[in-house]
Amino acid sequence: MSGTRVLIVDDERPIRRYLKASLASHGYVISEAANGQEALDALLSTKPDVIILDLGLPDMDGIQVAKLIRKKSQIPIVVLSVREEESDKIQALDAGADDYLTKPFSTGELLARLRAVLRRLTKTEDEAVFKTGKLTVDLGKRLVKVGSREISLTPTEYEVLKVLIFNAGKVLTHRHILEQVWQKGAESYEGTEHLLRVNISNLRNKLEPNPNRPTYIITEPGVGYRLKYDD
Amino acid sequence: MGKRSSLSYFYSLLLVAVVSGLGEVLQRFVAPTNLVMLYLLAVVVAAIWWGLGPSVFVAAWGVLSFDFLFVPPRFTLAIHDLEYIVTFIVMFVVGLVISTLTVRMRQQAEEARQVQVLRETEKLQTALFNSISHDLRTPLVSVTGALSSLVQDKNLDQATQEELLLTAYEQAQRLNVFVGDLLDTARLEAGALRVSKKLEEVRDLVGTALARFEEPLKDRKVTVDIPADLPHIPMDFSLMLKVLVNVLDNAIKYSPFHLPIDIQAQVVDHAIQIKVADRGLGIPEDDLKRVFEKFYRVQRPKNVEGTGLGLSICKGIVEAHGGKIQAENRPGGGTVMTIAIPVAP
Repeated sequence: MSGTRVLIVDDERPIRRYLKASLASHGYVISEAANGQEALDALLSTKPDVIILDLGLPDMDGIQVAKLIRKKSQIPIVVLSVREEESDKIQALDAGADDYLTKPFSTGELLARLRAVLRRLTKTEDEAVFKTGKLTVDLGKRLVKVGSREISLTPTEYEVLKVLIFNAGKVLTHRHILEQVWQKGAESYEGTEHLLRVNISNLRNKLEPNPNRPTYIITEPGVGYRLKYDD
Repeated sequence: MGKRSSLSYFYSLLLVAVVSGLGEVLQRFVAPTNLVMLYLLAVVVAAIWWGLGPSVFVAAWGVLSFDFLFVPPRFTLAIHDLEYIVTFIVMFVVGLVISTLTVRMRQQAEEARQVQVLRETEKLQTALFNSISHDLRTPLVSVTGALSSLVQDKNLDQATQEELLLTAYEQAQRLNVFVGDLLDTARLEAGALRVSKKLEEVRDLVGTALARFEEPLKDRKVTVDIPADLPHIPMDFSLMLKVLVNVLDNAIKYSPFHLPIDIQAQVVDHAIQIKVADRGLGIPEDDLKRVFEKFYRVQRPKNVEGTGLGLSICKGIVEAHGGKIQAENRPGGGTVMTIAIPVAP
């Protein structure tokens, strides 16, 4: 990803320092901000391609910053947080963040998340064939294969898989998948959540070499699901 | 003592009545003055059992009963022999003194006990803080040591540098685990654990937990036996994941890598039982319940790292779900951890 511009927003200088060093060595061009206001200013002035946003900012709630960024831009956002509570993660994702990492994290994980959220820019809806591991999905022909074996999915199972594929590598909240597949608003969310779990379970039965230890569809505890994908 | 006032005075009344009854029986054989001893005994008993007020009451009521029932002329409060006035006064004073002394004695015993409890609590607290301090600082020793070597020594060869870096990384991760355990324990202690239950799949729980151990399980055999029709049950996925990860971690740490780990789930008595079994050394019979205590570490093998908090956190989480967790030894060697979660919320 040579030349990709990253804006690092974190009030801790040592963290900004080590992130800058690690990411620069992978070809990223770094700009920094130490609080919410600086972040919003830097968004306009440096025009980054992706933002790494810490939620624990001194001047504004990180979630608020994410919302404000979203108002102006569709730029991918990876959120960092010391707190591991799911409600924080879900709030951030609902506010428009594309993925999250709980501190402390390894640089490798961060690089993987950055690649996943940036991939969204280059992928289009018409991109015909999706491949990961032995799974091949031809979106044009609605054909799903594991190895050479053709798999038959129900329409709902296919839609769920499609949402996962369009966001391959990124975490999706339960709510997001429900909204995309069942077009349900928040009110009728409760009952349909179980339906989602059942569909994921069935997808695992049909696609995973060992459904007891999934390698494609990964559960993000308390948050949602992620389709594992790394190119 | 003394809080159940009216009831204890009623008992005092009964006590004196009993003593008087006894006196009635004995008065054929002994002089009335000897019966005074019985009443004094009642005063002591009242002082020990019910406190100062009731024992004074017994002293007073005892004197009156004694006068009425046993001092001639009997069954009147009049006194023929003025010597008895001395008896009464002495009886009452002795009664008072005994009550006061007895009550004081009880108070002193109580205070001594409290001082001892305080001292023991302090000892425990000190031990606890020492243990936490040790567990927090020990990984830092390696991190600081390794990194300072790397910073200060410019002559290290590549292999040594890599080894030091790896050590620092591993110990930093170990410290992070301990911090997490401490926070979880603090949350449990403070009653601040929020359990948000949703219908979840046990297979998903087991699968997600196993995924956390991809590296250590790479070359190990793990069998998973979960029926396809196992019902989804209400649980807080993240919290139960902690439990399963902890239990799995123990199974991996405390059993040889060439022996399998077996995971099984089934419905038993309106609950789902998840069993994680290993073929390790097992747990000494006397410790099977104690392993769930905070900071408890099985004594052997000695070189295994751990915080000692894991299982106590598991117990807290499982019980917050209305469930049970227990450890048993397996026939043929090894440990089975059984986690039972009710099917209905």
